[in-house]
Amino acid sequence: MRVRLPVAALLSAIAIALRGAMAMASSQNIYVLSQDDGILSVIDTEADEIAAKIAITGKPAAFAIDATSRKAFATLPDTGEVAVIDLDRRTTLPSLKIGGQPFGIAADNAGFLFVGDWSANQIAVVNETTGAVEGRLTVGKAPAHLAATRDGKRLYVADRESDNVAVIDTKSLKILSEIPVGRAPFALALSPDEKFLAVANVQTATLSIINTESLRIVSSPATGAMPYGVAITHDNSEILVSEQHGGKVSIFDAHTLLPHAEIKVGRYPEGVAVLRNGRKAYVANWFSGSISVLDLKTNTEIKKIKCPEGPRTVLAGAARD
Amino acid sequence: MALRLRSLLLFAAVLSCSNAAWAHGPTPQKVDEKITIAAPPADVWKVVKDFGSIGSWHPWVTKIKVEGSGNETTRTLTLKSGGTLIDSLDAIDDKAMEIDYRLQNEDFNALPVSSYSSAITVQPAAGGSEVEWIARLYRFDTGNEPPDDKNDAAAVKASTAYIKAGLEGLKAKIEGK
Repeated sequence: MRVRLPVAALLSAIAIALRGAMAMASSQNIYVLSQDDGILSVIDTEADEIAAKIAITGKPAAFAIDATSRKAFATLPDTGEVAVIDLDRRTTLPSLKIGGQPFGIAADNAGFLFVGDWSANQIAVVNETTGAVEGRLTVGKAPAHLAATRDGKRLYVADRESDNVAVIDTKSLKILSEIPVGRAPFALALSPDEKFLAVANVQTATLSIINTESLRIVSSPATGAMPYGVAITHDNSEILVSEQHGGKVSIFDAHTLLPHAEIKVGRYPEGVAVLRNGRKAYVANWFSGSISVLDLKTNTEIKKIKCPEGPRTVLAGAARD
Repeated sequence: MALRLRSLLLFAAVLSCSNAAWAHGPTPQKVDEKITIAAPPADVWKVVKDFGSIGSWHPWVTKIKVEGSGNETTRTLTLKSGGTLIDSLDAIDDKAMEIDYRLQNEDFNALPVSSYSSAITVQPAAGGSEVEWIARLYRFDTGNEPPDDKNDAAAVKASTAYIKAGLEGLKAKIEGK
């Protein structure tokens, strides 16, 4: 008895520690959407290899993950649909037929999707289970990428042809502000603490850093030519920007807003995602048909993973248990 | 025989359906062309990096106007077809021997494309240099029902022809033929 108790306690402590270590080690996958081949690739971030390929009918442009339902939603601009993917079973479910030309997409993690219609200049609020469009809102021209707060209450939209970012209150479905940024804003990222938004302006080659409380631009640092993707580390300290021309990722210090590293990747890089633990980032090289794996401690490219053709959007998401 | 014909027809019908599906959707398109030039890379790069030199080697270009300097440089090309291309310089990387630029305007008479950008690189190769000219582009009509002359296939075909003619012109100029 005197011996058993500490052993049992020790064993359970070890078990808890092990489970914790395992969860930490395999907590996130990287998902890459390839438009030309119509495939969502699942990258195991331990091995940095493609663990699964999920086929989607059509040419999916962008996708979002609902962290609650653990589904991915990919826009199909050609057919006016949103493909639905069960990330645990790694299979597709019947797609949502919403019409128009869906492009950018964000999830509120509570059953609703926000979907931009590129040519109708609208945002639709879509029930992710039924596909019913529960509301529509007109924004600027050519809504590109979207970013929602975790609670889904606020939505940011990069209006590429209007050169502004629309800030939307999703409850009232009203535009709170339209903030003029640089020319051709395409990608945007909300910092994990949701205090600032980084917008990549393709044609002016700048970032617009927007304070999400004042809704004012606090800085517009210059990037390399044609910034097309942006991501922010989980500790809010670094901003990663992919630059199509030059084939690079620049890393900005989020406080000084100065670039402190530049990493050569593949050709025409687009989407970027950073692991929650901050160790690695993944970049979709659209022209090369590959994913660059970046080590964020050394700021070097440590691997290129060949992937299906036309990779554009990259997201990190919790791995299945 | 009749059965075989019918299955052939069915196959053709399936093919044409999938072609129609391919023509849809604002999916960026790729063009990737290469040529070998019998000259040292440094000599080829000297011509390629001169953003205004295209008027002296691209056979389609009849007139060129260069404005601005550095990364603010633009060139206005008048083509044989009468169309106009306004290109703006994005980056010149001497180490990688790569020049990047993008199209500022959309002129159907010049090229049936939109959101077009391009990169030309020079690399050492057996026999001299290899020049690679790539482009990322969208079709002219990015709506969901583009006419045949404004779809993905038309955009890629015209851009490929433009780039091929340019590479051949560059080779002819540098090799002195």
